[in-house]
Parts: sequence; structure tokens; C-alpha cells
Amino acid sequence: MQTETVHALWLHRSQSLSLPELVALTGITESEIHELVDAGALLPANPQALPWTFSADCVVTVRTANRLRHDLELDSHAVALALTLLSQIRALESELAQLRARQPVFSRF
Amino acid sequence: MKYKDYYSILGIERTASDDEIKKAYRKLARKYHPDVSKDPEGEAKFKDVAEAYQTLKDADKRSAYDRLGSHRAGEDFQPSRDWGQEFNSQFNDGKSSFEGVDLSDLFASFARHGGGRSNASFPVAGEDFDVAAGISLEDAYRGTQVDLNLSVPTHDAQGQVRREARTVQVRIPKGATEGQRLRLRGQGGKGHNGGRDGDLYLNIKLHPHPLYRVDGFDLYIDLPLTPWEAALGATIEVPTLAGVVNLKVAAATTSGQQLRLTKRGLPKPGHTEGKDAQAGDLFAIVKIVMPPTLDDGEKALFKQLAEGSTFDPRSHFNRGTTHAN
Repeated sequence: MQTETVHALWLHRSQSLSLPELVALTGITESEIHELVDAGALLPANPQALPWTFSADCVVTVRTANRLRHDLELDSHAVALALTLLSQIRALESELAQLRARQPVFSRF
Repeated sequence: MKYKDYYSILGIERTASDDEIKKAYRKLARKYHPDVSKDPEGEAKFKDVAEAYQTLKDADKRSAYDRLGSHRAGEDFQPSRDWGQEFNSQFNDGKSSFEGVDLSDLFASFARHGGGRSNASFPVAGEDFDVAAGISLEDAYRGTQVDLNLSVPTHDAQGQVRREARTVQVRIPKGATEGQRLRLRGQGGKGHNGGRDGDLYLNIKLHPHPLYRVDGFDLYIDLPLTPWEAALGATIEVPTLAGVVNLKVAAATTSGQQLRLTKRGLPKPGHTEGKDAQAGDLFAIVKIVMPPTLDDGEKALFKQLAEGSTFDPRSHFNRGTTHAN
């Protein structure tokens, strides 16, 4: 059995990626990235500023888009809609987690 | 190899039409897809469903699968030599075996070998892996190392996909929190014919902590106070991930009040060290706790307080209301 030690890189919104970097990280083409941006599924840091840059968590979005497109056989518009709804669900889940975290646990006393 | 009943996985008859196969797949994919399903078993179920669909939607693969015969799900079996000769040209040499070959890998390589026709040599990218890594809050705070045991598909000299056990030690730097993703370049499945190696994506899952609740990089802790500490103010020792700190609680502190300990939460990625270090905050939520029982001395003191105090926490009840008889 092989054992190797590797170092990991965070995919966090504080890290910035250029368009070629995003292409290299996700393995999809530049035109597919443009298609996702056009469909509203992916948002560059500043859509007006060229060349585009993206936050590193966009890698997660692009990979999700790829999976949805491939696994559920969705077109770009359906992918964009699914991503929008998923993002709303994530935001609500995060709000719920926040409310739960702020809620004192009275049962312990 | 273990037999998988692809028809049963998709919930269809062996005589199902292409359209029925597609409909069954779509229905189950919507139910179990890991991006949309809340089922904890969803990912594993989807993997089986996708594997079944990839084989049954292709007429050549379906025919080859059907020729494997019917077995019980999970039963150990080996394709016959005739099957290998008919459907998989690499087994014609008499030297290769199906040892260590997974049913899904068999059909994945079947596509590349054209079902026994010609050996294509186009680049095939390695598979990306998504793995959940459970770590403690303390590990997230300090950074840690985890060992991941993976079963990685690799190609042998004949191009056949085989599973290989691999342990990857991953150094998780500071900056982890629930749902945070890490990418490990080239640590997924190996590419073939010059294709790129796949990547490994870690999805951080924090173990529940007995003291802290997590919201992003912020932490919340309940701060139980006695009624007299809340009334008079006090300096309280509060445990943080960096050690105990003294927290000054002002007089007349009320239950539910949040006291913020700046940058005592989890470190944020990319800003974990030095002057520019960024971190979430720790919020201590005040809970005024009564002693479960009062001794005579305590009772007497509370009685004295009740008789001497003019404080009415329900004064607003009387505004704009009328008394019933």
C-alpha cells in the first residue's frame, strides 16, 4: 500500500482565481465558464472588470454545475436554476445553523 | 468480483425498454443525487444508480451485462472465459484475469476497449474524488493531519482498471470550518494515456463539541451565571480554544445577552498568522441559572431582596390591558 503526504489548499471566497486558473482547476473550457456566467449560475468578482477573476469557492460551484449537467442531464438554464435554488437552500441552512448556534441550550441545567 | 443487479437497483424489469431505463434513472437521480438529496445514504445510492444507468443505457454494455447471467446481489462471481473472449479483447491472451477488477470498472474499461473491438489510446482523465473528513474543533483551530484510506482506480499494463488501496496523509492547515472545501491536486484517480490525474476534494465536517456551537468561523458558548453574578457583575473564566481567558461581566447583565470575545473563534483561511491574522469571534451567551435548591440562608437572602426591591420585570403587562374580573 502506498502512503504519501500531501498539502491541501482551501477553496474559500477569500482566495482569488483568474479565469485560466479556474479553467485549470475545474477541467472545463473557458466557453463553458462563459455559459455559466451568462446563465447567472456563476458570478465573477466584478463582472464589469476584465479580465474576470473569481473567488476560489467558485470551483465548488463549477464542479456542482458539471455534476448536475452530467448526472441529471440538464441544460445550462436548468443548471443555473438548480444552482440558484441550491444556493438559496444553503443560505437558509446557514441562517438556521446560525440561529441554532445562538440559541442557549437550556436543557443542560 | 461482487455481482450487482443493475435492474433491481433501478427498480425495473430485465425486459425494460431504453425509455423505461432512462425514466427510472432520472427519478432516482433526482432523489439521491448528492447535491440535492438530504439522505445520508444518498451518495452511495446515487453511485449505484449511476453505475447501473451507465451500463444499461448502452446497448453493447447492456448485452454484455446480460450475458453475465443472473446472480444474487453481492454474490462473488467471475465472468466466464467465453465472456472475456467475446466482450473484452484483453482477456484473449490467457494471461490476464478478473482478479481485483470491480464490476463498474469492468464496464468502464469496456467502453474504452470498444467491447472487444480495437484498443483506443485517447487520453482519459483520472476520476475526481469527493471525501468527507471529520475533524474536531480543536484540530480545526490548530491545523491537523488526517489519513484517508482510498480505493483508487488505476490502469494496469493492459489498460484494465483495477482498484488499488492507497493511504493519503493530508495536512489540513488552519482555516477549517464546517463545509469548508480543500482541493488536493492530482490525488484522485490516475489519468491514462496522458490524461490528467484526478483531484481529491475534502469536505470538512466538524464533530459536535460539548462546549461550543459553530457558525462559520464564529463560536458560541453558553455562559451560565448565578443571579448575583449577573446582578453585581463579575470576572468569569471562560474556556477558549487558545486557553482560558478572563471575561468581565458588567453589573445588571441579562439572560440571553451576548458577550463578544474578538478573534477568539476559528482562524480564517489565508489569514491565519501574524499581524494580518483574521479569525471569527467567540460569543458567550449569558444564561442566568438558579441553584436547583436553596438552603435556609439563601432563602432568607432572597426573601430580604424580594421585600426590599421595587423592580417589576412585568410592568409593561399593565400598559393598554384591562383586568378580567
